[in-house]
Amino acid sequence: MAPELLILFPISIACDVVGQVFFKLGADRLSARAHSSALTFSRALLRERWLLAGIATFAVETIIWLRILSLCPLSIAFPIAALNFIGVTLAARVIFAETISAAQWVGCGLVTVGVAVLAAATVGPT
Amino acid sequence: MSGSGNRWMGDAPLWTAFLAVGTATQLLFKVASGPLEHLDFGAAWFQTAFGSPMFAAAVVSYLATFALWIVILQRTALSRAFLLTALVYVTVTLGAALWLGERINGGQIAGIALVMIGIALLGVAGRTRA
Repeated sequence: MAPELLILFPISIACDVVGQVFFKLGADRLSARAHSSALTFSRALLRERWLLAGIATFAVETIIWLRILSLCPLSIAFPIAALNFIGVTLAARVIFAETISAAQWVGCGLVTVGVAVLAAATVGPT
Repeated sequence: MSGSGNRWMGDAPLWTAFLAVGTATQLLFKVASGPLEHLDFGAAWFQTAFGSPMFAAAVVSYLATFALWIVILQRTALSRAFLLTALVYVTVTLGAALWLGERINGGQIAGIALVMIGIALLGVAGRTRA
């Protein structure tokens, strides 16, 4: 495995986490009135800076992800990307003070492993 | 059944829409990629892609998925909402089998089972919390 990947994978997962945190910050700032029509809501989405920051973060993530895929097979990269479920859960607890019960942590672990297994089985070299 | 449990059920139509549109997005992109299979990455590739109604539908569907995700985030804790998005991997896999004729293997079934148990635990956590 290329040493560069040891830096790229954490950056990639950090981008996923930060992007979702930005989306949540933006969603919490949108008013309920924004739902009056699809057009009003679309405009509100494009005016909210946290949402734009989130989109920009995912643009960066797309480039990093492409670099990762150029260095290692998708059957390895995709299962590792499933770690973002743990990353987002941690961030939600630390940044938004969300309560994560023991059952939810176990669920988070199972989902992470499950998505990794599903991804590996889908794109695996068989 | 607690308040948060009722709220959970009240959000079911929103989640159904998110999963349906999110799954449709991926299947539409896959169908749209068909005619591109034997083209080099160049002018003809872009012409074919952007001229495809399937590609246009996929882009619209993609934007709708984003809007639905923000609506979900307006009313749901990030940790719970994000974990539930794992269901998209399940529905895309099943959708590809149902409508695109792709085969499902044992590893995929095991992965789907783990995700479903994990999501079920999230439901239990939500009900016992409030």
